[in-house]
Amino acid sequence: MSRNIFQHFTGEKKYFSLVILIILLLILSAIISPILIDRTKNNWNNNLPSLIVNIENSSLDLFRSKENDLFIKSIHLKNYIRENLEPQNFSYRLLVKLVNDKEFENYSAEVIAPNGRLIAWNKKVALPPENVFPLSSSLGEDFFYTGDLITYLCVIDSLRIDNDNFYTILSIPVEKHYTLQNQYFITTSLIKEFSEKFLTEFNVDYSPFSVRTKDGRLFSYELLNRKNNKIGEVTFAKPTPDIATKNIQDELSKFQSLLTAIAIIFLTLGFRGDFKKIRFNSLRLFIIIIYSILIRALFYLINFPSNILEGPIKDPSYFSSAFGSGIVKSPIEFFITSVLLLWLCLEIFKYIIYYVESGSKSKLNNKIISVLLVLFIIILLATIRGLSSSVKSIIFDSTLRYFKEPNLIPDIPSLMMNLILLILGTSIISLMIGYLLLFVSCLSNGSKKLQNILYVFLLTQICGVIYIFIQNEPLLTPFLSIFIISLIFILGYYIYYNKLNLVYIFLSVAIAGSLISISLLIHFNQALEKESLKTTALEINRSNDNLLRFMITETLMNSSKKDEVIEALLKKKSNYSALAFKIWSESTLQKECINSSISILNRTQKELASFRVGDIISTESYSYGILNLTTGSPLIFEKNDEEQNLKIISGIIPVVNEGQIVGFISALIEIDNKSIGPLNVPDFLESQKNYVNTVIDPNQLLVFRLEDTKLVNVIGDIYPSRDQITPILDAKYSNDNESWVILKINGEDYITYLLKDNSGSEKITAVLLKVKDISWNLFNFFKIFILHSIFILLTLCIIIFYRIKNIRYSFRTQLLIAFLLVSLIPIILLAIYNRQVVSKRSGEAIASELHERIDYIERNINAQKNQDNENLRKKFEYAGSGLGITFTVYDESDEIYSSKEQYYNSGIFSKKLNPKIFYYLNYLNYREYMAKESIDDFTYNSFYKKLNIDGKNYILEVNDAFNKVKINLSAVEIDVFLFGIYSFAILIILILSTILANKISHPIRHLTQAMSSVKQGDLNVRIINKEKGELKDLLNGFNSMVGELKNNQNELAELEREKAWKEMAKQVAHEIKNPLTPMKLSMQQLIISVKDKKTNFEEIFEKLSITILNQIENLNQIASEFSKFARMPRINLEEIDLLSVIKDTVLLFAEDNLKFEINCNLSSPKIEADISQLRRLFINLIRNSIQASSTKILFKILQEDDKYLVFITDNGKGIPREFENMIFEENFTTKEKGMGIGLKLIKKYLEDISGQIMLVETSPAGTTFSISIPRSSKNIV
Amino acid sequence: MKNFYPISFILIIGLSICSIHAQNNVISKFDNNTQSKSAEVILTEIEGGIAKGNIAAIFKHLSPQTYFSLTTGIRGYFSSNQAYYILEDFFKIYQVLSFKFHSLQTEKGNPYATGIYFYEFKGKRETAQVYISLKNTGKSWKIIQITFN
Repeated sequence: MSRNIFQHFTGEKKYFSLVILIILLLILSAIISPILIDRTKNNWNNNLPSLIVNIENSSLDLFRSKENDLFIKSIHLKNYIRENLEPQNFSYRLLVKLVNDKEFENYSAEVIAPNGRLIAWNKKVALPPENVFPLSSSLGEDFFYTGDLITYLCVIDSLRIDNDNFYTILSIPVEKHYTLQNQYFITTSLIKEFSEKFLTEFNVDYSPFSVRTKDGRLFSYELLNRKNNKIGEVTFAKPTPDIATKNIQDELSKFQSLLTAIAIIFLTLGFRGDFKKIRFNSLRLFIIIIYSILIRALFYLINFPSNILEGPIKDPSYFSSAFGSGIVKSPIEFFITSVLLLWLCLEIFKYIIYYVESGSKSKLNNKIISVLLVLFIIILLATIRGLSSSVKSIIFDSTLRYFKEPNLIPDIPSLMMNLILLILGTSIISLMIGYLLLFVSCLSNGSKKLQNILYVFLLTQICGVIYIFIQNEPLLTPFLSIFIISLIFILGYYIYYNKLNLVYIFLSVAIAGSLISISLLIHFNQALEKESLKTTALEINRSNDNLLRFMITETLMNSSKKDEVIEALLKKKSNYSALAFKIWSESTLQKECINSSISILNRTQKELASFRVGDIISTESYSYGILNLTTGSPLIFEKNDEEQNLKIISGIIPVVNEGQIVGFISALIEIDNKSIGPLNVPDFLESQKNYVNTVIDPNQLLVFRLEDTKLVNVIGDIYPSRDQITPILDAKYSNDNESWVILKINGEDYITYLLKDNSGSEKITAVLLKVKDISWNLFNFFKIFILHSIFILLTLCIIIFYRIKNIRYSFRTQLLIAFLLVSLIPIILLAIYNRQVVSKRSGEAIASELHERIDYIERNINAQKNQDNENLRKKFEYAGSGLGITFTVYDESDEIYSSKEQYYNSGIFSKKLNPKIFYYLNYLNYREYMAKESIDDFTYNSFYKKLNIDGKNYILEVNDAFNKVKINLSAVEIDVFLFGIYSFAILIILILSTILANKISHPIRHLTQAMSSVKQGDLNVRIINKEKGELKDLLNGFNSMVGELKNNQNELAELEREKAWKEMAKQVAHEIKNPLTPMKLSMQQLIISVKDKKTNFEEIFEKLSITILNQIENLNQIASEFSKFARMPRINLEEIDLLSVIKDTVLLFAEDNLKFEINCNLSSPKIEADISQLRRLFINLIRNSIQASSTKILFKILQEDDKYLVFITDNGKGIPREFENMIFEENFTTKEKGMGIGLKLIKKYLEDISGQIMLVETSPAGTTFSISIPRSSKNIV
Repeated sequence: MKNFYPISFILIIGLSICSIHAQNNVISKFDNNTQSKSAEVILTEIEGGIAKGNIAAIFKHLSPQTYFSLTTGIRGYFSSNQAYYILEDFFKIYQVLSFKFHSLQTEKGNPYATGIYFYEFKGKRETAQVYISLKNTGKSWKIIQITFN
């Protein structure tokens, strides 16, 4: 039975069989879902042990794969050193080089000399040599080593070189014990990897002495190394039936929604054939509208694809809007909605283009056109407002800062939002151009059409500007409104008056969509920036003490309970700097990026170590005195330092172990009222979140505070004069005590938000932002435009790829490819070269800056020789504080001093010198070296120089991680400018190349078409051209040649006719003579017989009369033959396809400025006719239309009973009413050079095949002929 | 045809003014419907909303730009449009067990409240510190900051 059902599914219908299969699967999944859940619950106790074993084994396998990689690499390191380090050329220098080979860049590799000294290392030293001996495990055995901040999996092996025993150590990080909320931080966590993979909470204790958990809800297993020695303890939460059933439900739900989505795709493919057969475009459009709405609704209901995707694209924090009840609740949902919107808009646009090109419109009177004009302008303005609102939402309902992103190619959510912006722009612009085309097509085709379009354009512009002024909260500026409307009209005009390929139209619309959407994005971004000044003013004035207190309390409460903190305080020796950093990194102080510090104090409240971020001035706040703290709650202190203009909030909490205080943790926040945001926080620590202003970098802002007209506080590096702040004092304030003014400071304009506080004395807070000049707006524009260009070019490539079979390698295509190659290759090479030059210059500028600073330090230290400063450390401190430069000093390869010591003490920076620097400065004797270094994904430049102090060599280092170097343009800015301008140039080249290739190849294409026409026997073809030079000679030569051919053909025909006539006359004479002789003889015999009165006269008469009659019959036959010879050429009837004949004929006119549309729903209309005659018939009719100034010709083929009707409609100037009845008469013509036989011959030919031609209608708007031709008898059943 | 363009122009402007006027009326009516309540009442409503995972109860008190700091890692100012789905996602992942403010300060100009949010995450019961502060927008108190840490 099923076979019977499925045999109906052939062709595209086969997809329905898949849909049925999917539906069955859906039903099945719905049935088994409760069964599966019940079974899981019922058999839970039986299955739990195997589940636990499964998690244990799988997590162990994951660990083993890491372990194996480490071992393989460790053996490889050993062999690699052995192979390359021959005893005769053994040197530490070569050893350093080998260890730093690229193969080991993902590992920490170290080589320890027999004396226990570290002699070679790469990257950060994982296992310090002082911790290697005594060995914690035997050689070749892996173990965990927990450093200050990171736990490593390490393997130590021995390496025998020249009878000496060296040790190799290879380590891989498995767990970072700190987290930083910024883009540079790379997470490394085995615990997180386990938890995410096995969907349960994991914990790994990286110690061989760890104990098994006694908590019944948890399961522990010992982590054994390859030699079965315990190196740690893995603990995970046992799966619970609730979670297991929830997982089953979630997985089934994902599976079901995926199946439903696939079913929809198959259903679409299945109906594709039927959809194509729909004759009415309007019905097709209606189906598409309904279908796309249904798909969106269905995807929304099944939460597809959000429920099967993971990651930031479904995160509402990047973008979400309550619009449409959730159809744009995340970037991916917005993307799906916008893609469907694009499809819908492009289909509507395509439909409008076909409708406009068909020219089948009835004439509208002025009243209707007035109403349509009003509707057109209102809908157009409303649509522009809709697009503006959407783009505003992209800016205001998103945390993505499109112009603040540091990278040229942004992250995935930004990329997706930029794509959505392009899609949205393209969709709405296509729709608006569609409205315009529709309206323009309603205007009469007379000579004033262009003038009327111009009036409509001006009226729309005026209405657009007025519409802005009458709105309470206008979204656009008049300039933007004029820009958008102008672009729509220019593009609309271009599409309406030019015969363009759909791909070119869509390309133009996409570029226009990009231009408009980016302009709107920049506009709303500026609005957001302006709005953020308000936020900043409010934040500055709003007392945020509650929040700061909450942060301190929360940080202290969370950290004081941590086992790691208790253990560290119980130990006598611990790296408290690292501990303070870890506490800070996991607290809100890092997340909010505030000038703050964490201190670890012993039980007598003496500071053991601290970690400070930002330029913290206050120090006395740590001295709380001996406090009687025994509870777990922190004590909070607040202090206002009027002199320094600081607000300090600090707190302290005891760390309690078994009822005994083992130490204290203190936290401090310092708010500097003279600045906004944190001061001098290195980029690798900053969270890039600033509660004062998330939109603009606070360093770009200026804040002036005035009290009773006096300037009392300035935040920023510009101190204004009295004149410069006069506009602030003269400003008019709204009811909300706010105002906007433009301040002119040092020749530059600053947009300024003013907030007045009248409580007590009059206080004014002014927040200023420099008005961006045109180059900055261009910078912003290019930043997005590059991405849009990439998207557009990619789409173009996909279209070309799919149409590659249909692409004709015509002269035009070859020209286009040649133009593109010739222009693009040098442009790309130039871009690469420029990029390298500018990047090299930037590198040189940074090196020069760092070099200069290192020279200052060197001079300063050398200058201290004469001073009585024996202590080296004091010399460094003096140089650092005096010059304000952060630097580090190394003795051999060990750090001995740094202006930012806490970063080395805490383990963020290695105390061991970069091995590359060690190699160049120590072994290759370089004096100085510039290196690119990194912490996770944060890269910075370091300049190293040898320094001789009191006869001893040191290495001095200055980097731009702590010493910010200002260069004119950053690498990203250079990329944006270069690639922005070049991508713009590429698009311009693409457009210009297309236009040029089109123009140059135009006469050749015309010539080719004309040749085809000549081949078909049409010698009336002529190429009208305005070319110059060889092309003119060629085309004129062709015209002369065809003219000559026609004359020759006529003369030849004339000669042939004459010859034929002569021959025929001879033949006729000869043939006539033949019967005449016997007739004459018979008559003579008859006369003789009569005269002689022959007795057998009757017999003779009968015989002779028969002879005469026979000869007369011969003459008759000769006359018939003559008549036949003089007839028209014989028609060669055959069965032909009417549609293909029309299509072939239309192709002959492909190069003329004519648009053809063939409307035929019949698959293969067969007729019996002479193909060459029929083709000439259509050529004749098309030529007549061209001569009547037609630009569009529509062929419509219908079937009526036993015949086919062909309606040929053009939009030419029509036939004058007085000539309508004469057009089929012989010798009638309205053309100067016409012979008046074309339509007569057509009529004659059609009558010969039982057809008919009629003039249906003619007017100044066009003419319609109808032709009827009987269907082929073979086709009539 | 003589008066064709002027009449069209007047019609467009007239219709536009009418539609904008109607739109403004609707907005002002909507604004008037928002009753001004005391900070304490609003904080209590928010407390109830969090305790029941009822986003609508919180959503109506959000300011146009609210600062969020959540355990999910979400941090920054969000529009009320965004906030709805951010909270929806948060309550879905960290399912509330119970919630109560333990400290409520409404006397000074900056009302705020702190509490402990008991939730279930991947079958484990955990807690988060909650900080919510309000600001006066002229007509009513609106949430300016929500912190779940």
